[in-house]
Amino acid sequence: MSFGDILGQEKAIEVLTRALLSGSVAHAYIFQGGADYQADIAARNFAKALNCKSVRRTDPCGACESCLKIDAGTHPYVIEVMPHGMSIKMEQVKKVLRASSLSAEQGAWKVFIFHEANTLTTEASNSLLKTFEEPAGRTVFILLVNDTSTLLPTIVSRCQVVTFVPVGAEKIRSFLVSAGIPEERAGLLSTLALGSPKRALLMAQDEEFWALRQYAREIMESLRRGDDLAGYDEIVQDRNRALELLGVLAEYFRDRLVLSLGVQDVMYNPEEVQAVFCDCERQNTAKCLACLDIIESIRRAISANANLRLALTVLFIKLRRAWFED
Amino acid sequence: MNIQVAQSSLLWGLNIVSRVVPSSSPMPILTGVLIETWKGAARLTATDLESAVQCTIPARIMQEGAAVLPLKLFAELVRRLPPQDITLSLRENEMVAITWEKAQYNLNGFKPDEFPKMMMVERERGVEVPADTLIEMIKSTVYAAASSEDRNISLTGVLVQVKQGKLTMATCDGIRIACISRDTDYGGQSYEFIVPAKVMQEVARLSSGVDDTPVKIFFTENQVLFDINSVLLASRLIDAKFPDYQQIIPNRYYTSMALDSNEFFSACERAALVPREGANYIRLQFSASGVVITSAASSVGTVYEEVPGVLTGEPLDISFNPRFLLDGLKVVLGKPLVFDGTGPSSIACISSPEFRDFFYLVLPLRR
Amino acid sequence: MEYDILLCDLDAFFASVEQRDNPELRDKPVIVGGRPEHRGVVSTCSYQARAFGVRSAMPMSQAMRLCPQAVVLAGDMRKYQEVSRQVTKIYAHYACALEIVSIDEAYVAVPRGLGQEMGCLIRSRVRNELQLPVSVGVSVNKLLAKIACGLAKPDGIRCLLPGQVEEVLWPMPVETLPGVGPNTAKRLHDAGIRTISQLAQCSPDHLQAKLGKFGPVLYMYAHGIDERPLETEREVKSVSEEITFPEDKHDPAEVIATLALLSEEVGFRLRKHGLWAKTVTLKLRFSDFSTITRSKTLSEPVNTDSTIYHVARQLFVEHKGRPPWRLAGVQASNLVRDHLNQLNMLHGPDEVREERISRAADELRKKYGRPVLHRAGTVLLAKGERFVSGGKSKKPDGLSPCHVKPS
Repeated sequence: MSFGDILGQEKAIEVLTRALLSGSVAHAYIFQGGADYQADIAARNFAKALNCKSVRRTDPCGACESCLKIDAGTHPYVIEVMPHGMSIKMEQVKKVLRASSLSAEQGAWKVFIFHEANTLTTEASNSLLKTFEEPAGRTVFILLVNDTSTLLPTIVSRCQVVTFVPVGAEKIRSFLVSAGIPEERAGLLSTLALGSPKRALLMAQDEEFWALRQYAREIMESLRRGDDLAGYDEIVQDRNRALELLGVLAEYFRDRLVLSLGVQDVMYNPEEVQAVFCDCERQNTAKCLACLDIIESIRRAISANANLRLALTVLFIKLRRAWFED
Repeated sequence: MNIQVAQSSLLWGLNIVSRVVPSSSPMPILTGVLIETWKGAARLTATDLESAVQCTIPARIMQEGAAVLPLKLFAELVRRLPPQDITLSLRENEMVAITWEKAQYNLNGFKPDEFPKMMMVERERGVEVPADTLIEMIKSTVYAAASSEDRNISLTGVLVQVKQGKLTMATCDGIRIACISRDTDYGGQSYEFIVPAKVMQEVARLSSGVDDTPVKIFFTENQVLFDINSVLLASRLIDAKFPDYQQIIPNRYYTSMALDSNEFFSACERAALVPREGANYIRLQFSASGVVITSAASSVGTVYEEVPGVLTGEPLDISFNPRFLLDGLKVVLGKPLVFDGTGPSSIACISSPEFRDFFYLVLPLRR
Repeated sequence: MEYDILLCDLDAFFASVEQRDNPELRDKPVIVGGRPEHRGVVSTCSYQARAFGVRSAMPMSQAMRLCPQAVVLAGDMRKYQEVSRQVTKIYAHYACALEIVSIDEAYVAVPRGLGQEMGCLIRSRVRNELQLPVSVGVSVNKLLAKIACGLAKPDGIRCLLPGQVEEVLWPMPVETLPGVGPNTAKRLHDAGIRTISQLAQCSPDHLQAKLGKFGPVLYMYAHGIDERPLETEREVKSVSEEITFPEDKHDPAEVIATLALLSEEVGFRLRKHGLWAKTVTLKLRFSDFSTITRSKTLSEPVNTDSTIYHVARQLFVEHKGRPPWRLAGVQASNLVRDHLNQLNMLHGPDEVREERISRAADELRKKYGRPVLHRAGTVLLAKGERFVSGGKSKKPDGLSPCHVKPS
């Protein structure tokens, strides 16, 4: 993969390629935006470009020994650190610092990539800080975070921040299509993925996700027709799936809300909303808000370990009353 | 790859390289051994990314190539094979067929391309040292390297200094410094580098079986290679500044006592049994007639022991953590011993006129 | 091994010491205690005063009414403690095990069968060497020894064998038994149980229903059976401090500040006893009362405030769980005595300074009787919270403890 394959991050890529071309590489970077906006791919590519035997301008060849080993995770000087359990722990940072203190081949760059760096424990961050204060030659630390505010300010002030932005819907759509995702799914996902091509692709391939959406539509249908809802709550047994279902329902009402306010162009999914609510010409702002409140309160109850079946039953009854009965 | 090797030489080779291999690793391939054909023989390599060991064993090459097998399992298997020729041949998907007599064992391997590259140094600058001298130097110093990198990472290594005609090794963990020098026929420029202590221990282990063959040490800016009778051990260096230990060596000592090292060592060792359970020190009182060693722990008992010695200079009352004292004494065991002191709360030195160019500096406990 | 148990009780201890040291007080009623105008109470009175009805713990004003001619002394606690130490030394000479109950009372375990003899020896030595009267009760357990001692007073020795329980113990009121305070006594009385004899006739189940766990124990006591071991003076095994927050804390920084404070307290107590700790333990209780303890064992024992604090803080950072927190505690264990600090060439001025600060803080604290120096981080805490005391809460005295403030 080359820098060119990274979607919609022209600015960030320019910062990185400029550093590569000029040779003025910072000692520590924060890639803000994390894996959602492909900062992980950029970080690995950056490490490859620094160490590539036959780099073309700024793009690594992807075929030399160094590139292959970075991809395989067996490069002696490029180390990627993932959280162990909930956090990146002192022990892991110690290992990195030890590795950074060992000599490397002539011309090689030591690159240390911390995924989800916001999970660094305070102690671990502090020991990294010490290293940032005494930079060593040809060594780069890259911290991937969603948001710099989750890092110690002392860390942020010692790093160059490169910002990765949410990817535009159109770019994600065409990316999905080129990845072989059917048009209709690609269109919906391009907005649902909130700027993350990675998330879009994961959702596209998650059949349960699509089944859940189908199920959500059926529920809305039943509510509208006033059908008996007994048995529906049986289908969702898993707490996380239930929460996802609430997400989909919320998404419908959110779109309906947006529609009622007359700002159609920011809807996730205009066609589906049309199908779900057969009353789209009516202004129902207050009702939309009431339904969103209901969904939110049930979401909280489920997160707090409420009885799942009971919570869903309550949800359906309340939604029907709030939306479908006048 | 398709080769035939004798079970005994394969087992020998696997035992040699197995020491650097971690039993588990975030990179599974590091638990593997790289087997490749090389100049009509088979070469085995293992690495933990910090150092790598390589050795060559005779083989009949039917087809050139390479394979990576999980070392532990492979070695366990080879150990249980009959002492005869074994054929290793690479099949599809990195699988290796291990055949002997009428049996076959298929083992899943890793991609050889992904095996971390062994850092083989160009052999330009180097020095030769007889194996027994090298072992002596390592054993005299390596124990005093720091075991944790909390303070100064350079201290987890052994400082090696190569000067005209002289090879020096030094270690320091903040409490003691061990230093030893030996003559060599090196005539080049001066160099110094820090080798991880773990690697030095491995060098001593690998050198212990090779009698007369000198060990060749090659070095560059970023790596060192030990050629021990054709077994190669390469290591990255610790890229940090070693403290200037020379400036800690006292200019003069106020107390000096010549002692029988065996007698003194045994007495200290006995005295050290008591503090193990309570307090952390043994006390040494040097006076004209010798040294009195005492220790006490309320839960265990007390020790009082006298060792005769010849005092020059002033009497001295000093306490040590017995572990740090015994470490240094062990080096000069069996030789006449000189204990030098600079005061009750300052550095002391252990050396022997019959073990030249070695000294062990150790800090006492605060009184 | 089986033991005989002696309870040795110095008769009218403080008063006896005063009479011994001031011959003019002998044969006179002597009361040691607080002054009547200060609402003092009697802590000890001589037997001559007891003859007038004066008793321990009685308000001094009342004692003075009963016995106006009594000589009232404020008492010299330091002297009594010293005398008590001398007496204990004599006990220790004969004891297989020794439980110091109070300044004038101790259980002494001696080999089985030698109780009477040893009791006489102890009495005569205390009398000859210290000129003090001591009563000794001899039996096979603490309960019966205590009863026997009561019967031996004043200045006597009495042996009570298990075979005599029915004859001696049973007629006594239930209040005689250890653990029977006014509450338990009332419950027993309500059930019509007044004497130990009546108690002994009850079934243990009945008593359990009435008194809970203590019921069966009391039943055993009534039959003269007591399995409590002697609580011998043990070495300090650990030093710990904890605090339950007045309100649950949500801010980790405040908990960390509290840990600094607790660490100072633990460090001070370690240094006072000349101890070093190899293990530091953090205790946290959450708002749902779930409690965790997490320990770290160090390679070198520590006793400076900052080293304890750093370990405690690190443990907190790694195991802090979800706020809010209800309680935080710091414990030092795995203690060693007689530790000397290892000199280290890498120790910078920081470590040296830290030791000096700890020492200075201790000196000030000894001088003013309470902590006067605190780590800057603890100013995060409200004034009253800057005082800590091991579990038992100590009231803040209202003085700002942040800076040196001699009273």
